[in-house]
Amino acid sequence: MDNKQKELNAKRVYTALCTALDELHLHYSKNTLESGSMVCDFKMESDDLPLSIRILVSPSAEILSIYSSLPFAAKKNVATVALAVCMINDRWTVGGYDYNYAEGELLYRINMLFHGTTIGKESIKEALYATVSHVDKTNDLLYDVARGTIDLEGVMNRLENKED
Amino acid sequence: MDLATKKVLDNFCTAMNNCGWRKYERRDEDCAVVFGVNGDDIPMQFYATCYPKTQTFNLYSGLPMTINEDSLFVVSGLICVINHRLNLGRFDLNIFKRRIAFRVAAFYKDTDLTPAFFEEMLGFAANVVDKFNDIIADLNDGKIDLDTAIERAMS
Repeated sequence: MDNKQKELNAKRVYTALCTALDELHLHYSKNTLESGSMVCDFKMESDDLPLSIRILVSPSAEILSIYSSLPFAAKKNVATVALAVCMINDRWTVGGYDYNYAEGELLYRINMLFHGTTIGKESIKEALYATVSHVDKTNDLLYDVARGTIDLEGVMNRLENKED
Repeated sequence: MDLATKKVLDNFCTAMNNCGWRKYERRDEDCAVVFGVNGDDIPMQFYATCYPKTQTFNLYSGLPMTINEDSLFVVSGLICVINHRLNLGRFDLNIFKRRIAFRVAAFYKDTDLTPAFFEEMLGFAANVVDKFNDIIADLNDGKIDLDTAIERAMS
């Protein structure tokens, strides 16, 4: 697929994304980065910590990415945080946290390839529901791990007590 | 099996045939396809499956090693570094079974996952697993330290 076709397909995916967000009555800002990637940024309320979400459509990579960065740094208890992230990610079939332990950044990510296809708005909504559900259920848990107020056994107990 | 799920599996098998990977086992009762791929070093096993209830497709590759108890922390650190640089898929470490699997997913609710889509995904997944499985194995076996593993993973 040449670059022009990739760009056209990416625009179709971005249109589907904006339609999905409109249908969900979300207020978002639109932007195009220097790289040519198209983004939508918005915030959502949750049970505890607020969610900031960025959705990026990359024509060159042919990937739609949903990111939600947790609003705290996890620079202490690095070993426990890394293992807790593994425990959490292993429970999911889609998405997961990336842990940049040098910077302490925790970033939830779902990526959707669209080579040879155009992602529909309902699939985008499903990915967004998964993002919100996953982050909402685990951001406070990771916050407690980062602060050192619970250990891995505590993580396991809290994960078992929450629905998946 | 619903029609949408059947179409996904049909297209996946078409992609496998197009890639020349004809030795696979399709298990319709599990909505799954199982196959192996020879990489540069460690042979790779893949398991592709659909979850009809959520209309999601997953491609997994389980690494053929058990992580040593005293390597668990450094391997989890390496997994974090590797996942941070992937723009598709991720490695999952089950800290209880001490096993690692690569995972990449797709939604098919109103999305046609075509053979071309699956060819791209298959090529990507095979390259990623092939690139990192030996680094993880060497770290697990104590042949290299975490700094060296990270250097190799980032190159």
